[in-house]
Amino acid sequence: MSEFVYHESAERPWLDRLPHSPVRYAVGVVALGGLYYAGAKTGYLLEFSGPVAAIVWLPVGVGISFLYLGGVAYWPGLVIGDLLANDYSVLPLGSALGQTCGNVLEVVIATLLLRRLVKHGSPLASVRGVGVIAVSVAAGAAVSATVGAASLLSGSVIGFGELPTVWRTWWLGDASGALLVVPLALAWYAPLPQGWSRARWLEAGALLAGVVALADFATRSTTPIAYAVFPVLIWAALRFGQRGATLAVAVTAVFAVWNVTHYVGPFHVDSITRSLLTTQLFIAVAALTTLSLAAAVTERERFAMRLGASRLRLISASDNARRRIEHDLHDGAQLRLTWLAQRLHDSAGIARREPQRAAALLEEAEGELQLAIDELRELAHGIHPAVLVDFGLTEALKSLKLRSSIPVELVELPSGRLDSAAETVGYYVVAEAIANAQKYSGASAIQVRAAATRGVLRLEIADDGVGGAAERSGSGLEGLRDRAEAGGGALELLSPPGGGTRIRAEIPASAA
Amino acid sequence: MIRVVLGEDSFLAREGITRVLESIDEVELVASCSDLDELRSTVEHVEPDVVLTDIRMPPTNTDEGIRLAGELRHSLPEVGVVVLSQHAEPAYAMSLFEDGSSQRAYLLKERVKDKDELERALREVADGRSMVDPRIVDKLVSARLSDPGLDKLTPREREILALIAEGRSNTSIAESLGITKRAVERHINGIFVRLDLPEDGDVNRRVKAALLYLTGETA
Repeated sequence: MSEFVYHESAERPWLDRLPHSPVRYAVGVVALGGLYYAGAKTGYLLEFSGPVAAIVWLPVGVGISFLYLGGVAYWPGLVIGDLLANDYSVLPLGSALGQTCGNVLEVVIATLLLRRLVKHGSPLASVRGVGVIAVSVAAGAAVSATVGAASLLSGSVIGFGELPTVWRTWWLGDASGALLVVPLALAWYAPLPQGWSRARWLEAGALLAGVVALADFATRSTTPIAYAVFPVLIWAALRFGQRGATLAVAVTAVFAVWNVTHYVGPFHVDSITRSLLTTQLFIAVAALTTLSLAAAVTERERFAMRLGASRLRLISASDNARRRIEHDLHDGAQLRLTWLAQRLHDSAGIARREPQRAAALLEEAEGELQLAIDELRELAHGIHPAVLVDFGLTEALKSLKLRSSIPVELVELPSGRLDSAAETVGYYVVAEAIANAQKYSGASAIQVRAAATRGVLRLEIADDGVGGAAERSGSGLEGLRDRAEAGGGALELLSPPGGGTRIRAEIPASAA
Repeated sequence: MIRVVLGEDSFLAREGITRVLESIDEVELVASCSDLDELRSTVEHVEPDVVLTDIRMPPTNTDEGIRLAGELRHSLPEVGVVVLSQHAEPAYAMSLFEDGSSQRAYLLKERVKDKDELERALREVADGRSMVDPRIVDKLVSARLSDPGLDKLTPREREILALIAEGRSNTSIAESLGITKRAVERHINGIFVRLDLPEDGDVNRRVKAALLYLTGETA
């Protein structure tokens, strides 16, 4: 279903939120240049000698993280960092500049894709977000690999025959570098949670030790048992979420690269290119699987939390409803009946002396009794409208129209009956929306649309009132959202100040 | 003499209604039943003029009264039905009139406190006519006051439309408004033309057309 329902506090981009000033901007650009350069130098340390592309090209990850968290405007820092990092001793100037162009373009493209495709929350918080990271990174890396390989070719650093291998190595190197650094930066950027218990610290320590030991063992042993590292990666993802997963993957990658560049372990094979390929693939696969698992865990925890909160709200909503019924009975019918009993008592006495006056009193009493009957009927209707059960949503909405003090236009109504859960939720959404409009909107007209198509009941209730309605905690609107979401549906509130209020809901419904 | 069978599951209500029925000269209460099956078999056995029944009773406590009315339309078309209901909802009345409104009345339960109202309903139904509780019609009319269709009518015409929807005959409308029967007929013709309703001399079909119009559906 649509994602409009869930809003997380935005974790990005902090520099965007600060007041703009040239000094701050300059500091940001220089910082990015420095970090990029440091990333490149670290990358060179973990590399086979020669002008071939890196196993894992870390600067691309540094760049994407910085632009994603800080703002795309800092891109000149990439140019500085990349120009500084180029090894001009082995590269013709033209090829070096071409490479730089490709690298900058890569980071910017990947960042823009990432921002465009993940609109709310951290990309690491959902499996889809992890997929988006992979796609963005792969697309950016393809640009860089293409431009870079072409630059090398035009500078005659490589021959035409080497092009496919260089492109592949470049692409995988950049992609796996980004897959290591970007999640690491995103996961550890947010403030750390407080108050770990002793047991938690011990577990974290044991996990880290386990990751180090197994990663080194698995990537050093001559027996091909690289997969042996996965149990600890899974442990990290399951128990320590995004942070555990990203750190464990990074540690594993460091050992994998370190060992293969020292010509040991399962990834060290006959040729350097093939060693590169196996290492890069291992890192990419380990990163993606672990991150997906961590994202699935995060998603599950988030759903569990929201579910728990919504259950509590439903319980308190039902308590509130009972309190309201008690109040209505106490202040309404009960009061009238008490008054009536007294009136009848008086009438009996008066009847003996002045039959004429007693008749008038009794008539008055009858009127009062009729009011009590009306009140009880409305109360019973409010508790659960019988017409909804007996005739379905369409008739129940007509009945709401009859009860509304603001004219209601039923623009569209479902033609047949739906399953009772959908009808009930749909009815209360419209009833609450109309009640809200009557209480707060000052509207002169309400339009209701209800249409059931392809297993979904779509509702829209729009008024022409003052707008500015907000979904406060404990409000009827929040209760409606809970009702809608409990059945797998969604609710949207559009209420710009001065622009009327529009409530849309989608509720899974089957024809009955 | 109108022979009546009563269907009502609540003891209190049954006693109350019985007392009111006994006070009406022209009515004979033949039997009282407290659930749908008992009521159905009793009605088939004694073939009364009118069945006076609660809308809900065992077994399902939903709309037994209306269901029985629908069955009787086919099995015993001569038997009239007055449904007593706590729901002031037009949907129930419309559902009662689904196979035609003749010999059918939809009354709110509190109406039985008034002997005359109950007697009138029983008589209308026994005479083959129909009746809808005025409170329901009032509700429909007041909810449609801003409606462009009703705007076309004069207050007098609106009043008459409401009375038509209640199932009143021309004579009865003329009496309650203190005008001639001829004047009522003229008004009715005018109303039906202006609302673009199919003109119909038959009072029963007229009730349904008026109700349908008031509930916002086309006749």
